[in-house]
Amino acid sequence: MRKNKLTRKRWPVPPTILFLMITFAAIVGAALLAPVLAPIDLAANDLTTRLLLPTFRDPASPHLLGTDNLGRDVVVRLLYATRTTISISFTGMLIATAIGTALGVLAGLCGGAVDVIISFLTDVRLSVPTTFIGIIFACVMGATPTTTIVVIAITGWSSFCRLVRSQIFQLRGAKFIEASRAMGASGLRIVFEHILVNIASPLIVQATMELSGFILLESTLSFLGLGIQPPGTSLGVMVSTGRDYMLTHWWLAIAPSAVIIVLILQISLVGDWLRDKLDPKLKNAS
Amino acid sequence: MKKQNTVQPEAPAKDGKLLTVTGLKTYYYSGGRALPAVDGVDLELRPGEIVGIVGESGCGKSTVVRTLMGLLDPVAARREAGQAFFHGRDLFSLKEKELCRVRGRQISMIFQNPLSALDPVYTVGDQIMEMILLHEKLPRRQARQRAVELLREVNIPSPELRVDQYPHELSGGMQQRVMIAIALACRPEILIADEPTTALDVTIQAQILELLRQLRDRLGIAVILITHNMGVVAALCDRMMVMYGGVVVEEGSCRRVFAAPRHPYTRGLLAAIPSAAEDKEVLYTIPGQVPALEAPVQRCRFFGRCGCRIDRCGEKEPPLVQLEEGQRCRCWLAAGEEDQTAEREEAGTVADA
Repeated sequence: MRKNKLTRKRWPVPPTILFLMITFAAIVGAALLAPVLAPIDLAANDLTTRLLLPTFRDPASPHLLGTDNLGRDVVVRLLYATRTTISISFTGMLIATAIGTALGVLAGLCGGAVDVIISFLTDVRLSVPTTFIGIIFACVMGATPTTTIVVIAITGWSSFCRLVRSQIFQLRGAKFIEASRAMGASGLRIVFEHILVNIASPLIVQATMELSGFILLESTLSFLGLGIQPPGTSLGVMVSTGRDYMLTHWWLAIAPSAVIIVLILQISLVGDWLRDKLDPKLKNAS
Repeated sequence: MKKQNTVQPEAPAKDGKLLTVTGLKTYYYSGGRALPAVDGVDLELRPGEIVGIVGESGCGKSTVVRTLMGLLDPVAARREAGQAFFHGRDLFSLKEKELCRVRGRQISMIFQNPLSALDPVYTVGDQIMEMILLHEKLPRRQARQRAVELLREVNIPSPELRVDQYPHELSGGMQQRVMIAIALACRPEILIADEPTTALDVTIQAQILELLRQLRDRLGIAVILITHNMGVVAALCDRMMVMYGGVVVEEGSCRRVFAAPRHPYTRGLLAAIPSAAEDKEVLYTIPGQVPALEAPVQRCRFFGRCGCRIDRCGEKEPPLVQLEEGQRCRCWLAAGEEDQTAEREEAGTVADA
């Protein structure tokens, strides 16, 4: 008899996933620590150093990726931009998850009219283009980081709501819910201890998947000038300004784009792995 | 450790009964129609007694206990009438919060399919501890220790290892033992077992039944056992109630009912038990099907399937009449004059051929 059969199972992480996680953590860590690593004034500029060549073009250049049109080091700008993009999309994701879960739980547990209304709201939300909502909010609230977070939250909740609602409909018939009522557990306790814990895995996977979408949404809004405004920066802002120099200084737009692509790839691949890992069917089969 | 931790508001009623249910009616509502799933059921339970409720699927067995426990779906079903006295209080008059203190602690329940009745995301130990901590203030470590003891009590080998396993890592018999351990965690006075062995194979079934009997003998727990298996009733129960179409058609001590079944339905159920001794080509089945739930009827509910019906059966529903030795039967043949009954019994011991 194998002894490890009887003890709790470990989580083996494949090397590729481990690599993705470590690099993601490194990027996020460097970005969040940007004010410590390179304390600069985001508004400061120096036109005498504008558009300097990067090291790979001019080995003597002290700027790894050159400088932008206002003479600021691109690597430092990238750190700050990533910091903004990640913190905004992550905050937006948390709020969207909270709203979506709360509405999904309400719809799933109350049923009846409550469910009809919430499902209707979800359909309405999904029928309105996300960018359109972004434009309206930028017009009404002004283009600030808060607006971007609000836009992410109120466009992102619907998928969480649908997921949670359908999961709860499945769980409602589950015998173990009835069993815990028969044990004397109160309704609220069942929601938190049994229902939410049981839908946690699909919810985490969904949140991971959605996060990459939110990063893209933040970049899109900023690219269109509806999100972060100069002198603040985000990956979308950097792509937007770099776009004007595509012919002569292509790295100004490509570098932030590459960061966006890398972040989304990392998150999506880890999310895929998490989904397979946390799938209750696969878990039960093992 | 073995001491009774539950608070008893009052001693059992003077007549020695732990639970007295009278006139229980539960209707399901579907498409604006009321369907009587349980239509006037009385039930009595004495401490340490095992009562079996038998019947085909859809006869209202489970609905009786779900009503008792307050587990009905509030949208689809409603208790229309009846009382259930437990320690001098009507269970149906309790508020949800008070009911939560009775459930699990004084009356607990085990289910048909143990894997689906256990939460897949928690370990076995967590789930036993949840039950303990719901009803008692206890440090987690002590609760865990008690969980291990409970697992040992239900004959699970190496409980120290099992306590950290997830339900899907255990076999069906083990899972049912875990359910029983959870149900017993707070030393309830009544254990309701809803088809506890149906999902298990025969050898495991026998072990689980034996375990239930041992626990009754050791802890004095009264058991309400719901089953459609007459063999299970014969093996375990002191008293039995046969349900059909939402009413009790026959009840009495198991010894008595098995020896002298009076209701044609009970006789049919007994005839349908396969026997290894007899070499029968075709297994006996009661003709027809359980009738769909319908509005209250005027005739005997078994009328359509009964092999020995008389004219009166189609005109008026028979009452549950008292026979000798506490046996009761809802049949005009049993209610009628003794000579008529004997005659009828000879005439058709259920349409067999």
